[in-house]
Amino acid sequence: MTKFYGPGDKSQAICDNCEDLVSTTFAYRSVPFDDSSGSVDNILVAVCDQCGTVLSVPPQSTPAIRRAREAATVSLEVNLRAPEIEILDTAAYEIDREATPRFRKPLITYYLNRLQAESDLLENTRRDFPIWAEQRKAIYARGDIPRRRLSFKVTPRTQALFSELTIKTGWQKTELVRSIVMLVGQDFIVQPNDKPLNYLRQVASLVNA
Amino acid sequence: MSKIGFTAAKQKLVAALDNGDYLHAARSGNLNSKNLLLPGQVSAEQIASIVKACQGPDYTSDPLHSCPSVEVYILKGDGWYIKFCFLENPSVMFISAQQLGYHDQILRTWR
Repeated sequence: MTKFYGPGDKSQAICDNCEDLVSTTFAYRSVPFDDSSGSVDNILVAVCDQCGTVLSVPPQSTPAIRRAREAATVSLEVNLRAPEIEILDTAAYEIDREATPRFRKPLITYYLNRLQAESDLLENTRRDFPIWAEQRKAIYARGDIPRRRLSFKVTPRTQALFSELTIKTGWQKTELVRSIVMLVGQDFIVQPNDKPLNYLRQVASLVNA
Repeated sequence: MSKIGFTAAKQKLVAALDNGDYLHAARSGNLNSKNLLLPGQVSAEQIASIVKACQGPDYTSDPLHSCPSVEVYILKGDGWYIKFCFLENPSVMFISAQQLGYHDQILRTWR
């Protein structure tokens, strides 16, 4: 039988405040996330019997934490020309044939993280994107190319990463997403690169496990 | 509690995951956003299968800084970093179950 705790039940935990292994009592508390993205109201937690600090959380509080985590997400919307969505979807399809539209967001997040972590990549992208954008403009001038909305919810941390990169590049959110479309196009269409493909396939297999 | 060897630790951890006999440590009274098991972004079954696949060299342990009588164990396997300790009640206290590097970020955004 799965363990299920109730208020008043006892357990143990390590208290950093008391610097000891202490006894705890389960009670309902509102507990913040450590990344300042909000808090979860009235969940069952174990509280230190000596100093009252919240020390642990049982698995039965997971559904409430998950709901709160989802509520803390921020909507991100950009309008792209249809061929640019097709570039993202072509890569997503290569990575995981089962989850094409769902994989747009992890794909973008992967490149956001790389732009943040790899200064060379960021510099090259800043240099190459304006040229690429001009080329795309010339292509789109040839005919009536529809626009499509790319919309997804991101965590406050990813939102912060977006903001940081828009400041670093001096670009708008749409330009930043389009620069990622350019990188995806380079790695998956122009000059297929096994490194991101294999890496993202691994991620896809894990999240679809 | 004395230090536990790799095979025994693995068995004990998997059993605790199966029985729900574990708790998640809070970090200074806050919810640890890096622990993906806490908001259910990864399931106990998935963590159990990662643990089962771990080998001896993936396993390390050290006394806990703030409470040296407690041994903290770390398993690193398949891009995961799982940090925990064994207690009497619950059997296992998860300090973190997170993915390393980009994995962590990407998995967080997956809904």
